[in-house]
Amino acid sequence: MLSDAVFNALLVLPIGLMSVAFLFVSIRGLVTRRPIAVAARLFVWLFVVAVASMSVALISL
Amino acid sequence: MTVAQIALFVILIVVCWRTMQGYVVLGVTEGAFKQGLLASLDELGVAYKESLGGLALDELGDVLQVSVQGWVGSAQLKMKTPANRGDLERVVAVLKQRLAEVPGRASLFIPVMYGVMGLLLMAIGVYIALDL
Repeated sequence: MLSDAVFNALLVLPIGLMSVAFLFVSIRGLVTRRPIAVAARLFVWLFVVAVASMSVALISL
Repeated sequence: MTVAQIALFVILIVVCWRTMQGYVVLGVTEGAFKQGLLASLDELGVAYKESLGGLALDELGDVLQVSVQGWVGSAQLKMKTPANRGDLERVVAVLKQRLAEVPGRASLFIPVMYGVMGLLLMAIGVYIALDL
């Protein structure tokens, strides 16, 4: 059983990470009007962090 | 139940790992992507033949697999043979220059949608962090 603070942190971490990633792509695209090419594995690592963090939090319920 | 959840998460990660290979281009129109990619191969002196699902690179004995979703403005590139990843990186390095040469030809669907999603996620994160 996790404390509320740790539980919230495990949820906020991936949400914050994804939010920053989405906003980065968005602002860059809107400002430069140029496409962005990134290694697809970056998305996988983002997904792994999100899934791992959220799963620890949810399984602890 | 916990085991099922962990198994589901592991399967999702494995599927994601298998699916997301190579490079992803976001915010690109189909025309700009095709033009940029073919110009990149020409610049590198790589002969290609267009085939279903990609470009056959006979010199390398490999296929540059291309997937374009023009309606959302994204594309994915990968070599059929993972060992030729270095060649893919050379192509992508030139492709990035080609795509940057002509601003204003990007698809704005992904930037707008990602902006909305990013703001909503940020609102949710703040809501949780402040324990509202």
